[in-house]
Amino acid sequence: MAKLSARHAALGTALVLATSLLAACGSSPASTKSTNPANQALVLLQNYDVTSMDPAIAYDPPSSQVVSLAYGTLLTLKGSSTELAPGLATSWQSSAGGKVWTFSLRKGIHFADGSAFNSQAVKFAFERTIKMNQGPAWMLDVIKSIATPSPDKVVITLKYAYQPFIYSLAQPSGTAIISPAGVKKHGNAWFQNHTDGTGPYQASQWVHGQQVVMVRNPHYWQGWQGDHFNKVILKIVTEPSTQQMLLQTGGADMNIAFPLSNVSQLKNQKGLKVLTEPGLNILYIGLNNKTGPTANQLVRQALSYTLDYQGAVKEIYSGYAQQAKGPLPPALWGYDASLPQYHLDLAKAKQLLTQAGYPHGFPMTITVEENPLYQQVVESWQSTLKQIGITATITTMPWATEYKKISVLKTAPSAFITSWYADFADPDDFLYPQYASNQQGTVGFNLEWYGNPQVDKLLNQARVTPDHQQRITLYQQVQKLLIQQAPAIWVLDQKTAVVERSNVHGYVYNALWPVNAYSMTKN
Amino acid sequence: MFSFIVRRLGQLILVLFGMLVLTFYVSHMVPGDPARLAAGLHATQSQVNQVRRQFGLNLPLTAQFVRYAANLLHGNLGLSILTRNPVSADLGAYFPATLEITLTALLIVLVVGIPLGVVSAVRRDGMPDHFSRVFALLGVSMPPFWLAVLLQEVFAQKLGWLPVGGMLSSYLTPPGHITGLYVLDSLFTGNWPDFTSAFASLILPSVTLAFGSLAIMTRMVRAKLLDVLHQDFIRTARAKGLPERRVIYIHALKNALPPAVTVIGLQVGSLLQGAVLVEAIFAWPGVGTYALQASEGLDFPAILGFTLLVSVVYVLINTIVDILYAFLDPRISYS
Repeated sequence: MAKLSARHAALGTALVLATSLLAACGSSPASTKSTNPANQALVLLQNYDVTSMDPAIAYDPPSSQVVSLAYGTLLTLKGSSTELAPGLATSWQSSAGGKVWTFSLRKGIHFADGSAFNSQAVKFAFERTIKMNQGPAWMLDVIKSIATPSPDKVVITLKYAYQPFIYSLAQPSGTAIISPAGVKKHGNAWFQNHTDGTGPYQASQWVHGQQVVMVRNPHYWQGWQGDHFNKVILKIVTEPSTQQMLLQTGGADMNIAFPLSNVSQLKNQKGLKVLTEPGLNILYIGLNNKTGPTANQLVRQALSYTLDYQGAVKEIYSGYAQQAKGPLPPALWGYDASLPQYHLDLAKAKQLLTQAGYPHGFPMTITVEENPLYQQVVESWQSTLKQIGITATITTMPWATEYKKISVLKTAPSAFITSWYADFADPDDFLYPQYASNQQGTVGFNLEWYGNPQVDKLLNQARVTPDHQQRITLYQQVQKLLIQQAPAIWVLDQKTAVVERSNVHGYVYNALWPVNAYSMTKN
Repeated sequence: MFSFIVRRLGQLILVLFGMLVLTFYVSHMVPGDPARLAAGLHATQSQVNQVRRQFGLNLPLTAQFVRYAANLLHGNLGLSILTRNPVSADLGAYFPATLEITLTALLIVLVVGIPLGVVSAVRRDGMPDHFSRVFALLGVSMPPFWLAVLLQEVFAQKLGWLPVGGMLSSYLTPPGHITGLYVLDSLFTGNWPDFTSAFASLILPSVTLAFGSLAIMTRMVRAKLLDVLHQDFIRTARAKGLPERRVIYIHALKNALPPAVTVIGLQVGSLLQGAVLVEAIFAWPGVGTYALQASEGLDFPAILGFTLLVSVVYVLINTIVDILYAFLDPRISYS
């Protein structure tokens, strides 16, 4: 009898498991129907986990995505452009040559906890970011004082005139406004895993390594009339092939930074839309301007003629890029399309090398981080360099290791390859940290050890010039000088691949702004 | 037996200390600046210094180690540089997912591997034996990432039977936390939608993880059983007229099992190691995913926490295996 019971129990268990399995199979993501809660939720793929939900700390794309949905910023960007648009501030003006900035704030806005948004909240949030002194704090480092003459007016005085300041406010890292009442109630540490802002969706659950669930903020100032998602789910998937299958089967709705290496496989796939948009970034090979043969301008110019730019664009980046003209990407204001462009010309390179006193070439070292696309670019470069007698040794290492090597002159290689991504929509963010002489080494990102007083002067002048057109002219002059002196080889501007399912509507691409799920729908 | 267990636990502490010293110094020898990485490339020197002070990275390496070891004695694994959470809390959040996938893989290895080994030994050179040979060859030669993608393509994408990845459908709320293992928690709380989704999600990653170990287990059981089946006591048992099933499962298999148990102990390490890759492919939020993220960001406390956890699990499992020997083979005594 006991044996019989055990057998029955085993059979029963097997039956339960089999039934469950069948039920599970029946509810595959592909069989989603309109009544399914899936249609009330937007599933956004993230390439890696969120590190922090605190607007004073969050600085990476997944964390910024959470912050941009949960919090508001004084300014935002208009549509796909880099043009400033009102956010929590309705208008703004500068005085004292860009040293004092006055903002008029929107009235009647509340945080998710129900407390009111006002000028005191702006002051509190900015001062909190500065005091916490974490990743994005450098953007507010220029602030000297914040005055709140009335609940709907904020006056920010900077340490010095700095025009790019206004653009640094139109992005979510460090500048999003947190609820002072929330911080008082919960303390700073709570915000690592929770949100309390004026944005449309607030974090309700974070399963580390798996997903972040964000739900509607009932106090959201634009209201919930019309068709909006009930939930936004940030699903963390690191593997591109898994992302691909999730998008194909309906397990996820979109990824605004789909890995370029896999995007070709999704083109012309039924049920998917693939957009390739210009990104605000530049892939470049930094050259050592201080030591070795590359300290010679003629050598650097020669090297600029040794790269197969079109091959890199077409073969390595499968066309999801365009050859760079200089240090600025075309999507950023200040870019000058009329500037000259280097191209592959080994005869010219050889001639310049001879002029520089290196007719038979020289040995050089190149470092590259563990990125297959970057590795392919330098390997292709290595083969063309060989044709003019330059023997290049490539060393691949993790970025943290490479950075330590290239940011110290003593260990800096002849060349390194990396990318620069915009923090905010101002040419200063590209040019100043990379080419101002006071930004060399670990101070900024001038890892080429480049220094030119004329460039420094123009960059500083552009920082304090209020007139936008005049600033454009100044940046064009900087680009011209840089292209002539070739401190780096600007390889290409990488595009951004946005993949979304065909039933997702309303997404507006902006290179600097994460997904605004509030204005999107799914059918 | 008791003194054996105490002795093994003493050895465990020594092993862990040695491993800790080694991992600490090796991980800190990797060139790179975790403070700069955590603070961001734009960070001012004061910001970088602040991060350095916050995580004790400004101290000499030996002082850092002493501090880490002292904190460890109080159960404090330090703060993760990347997530800024206590490492113990992070591991607590990520480990159940790894445990779930590893235990299921182990279960598959036992439930499928042992019977398959028995059948191929009993039907030596017959169809089941040929099948198990091919199966074993595939198991040891097929890279897990390839198998993972293959299974995803067939069962998730083409047939739509199973989810591509994740522990649970995105649209479901995870079950209440009891064990942290979704399948068990949803079962205990009677949450059937969660149970079916969690169970379906578990199949592909655990099969992928189990595949290599399964092949080894099958071949090990087969080889040992063939050896045992030719021994005198089996001949005696058959001569006494015992049913063949009893001869194989009671007499032969029990004697063939101790080496298989050794394999299990060793395979736990291999499964935990394999979990890092399998978790990444199946978007499985386990400690492997956490460790991968930590190693990219030079998050030393997290790397050390992960290494400690895996070592403790590995050493404990092997201690249990040693103890099991005594139960399986009365000739072994730990007195």
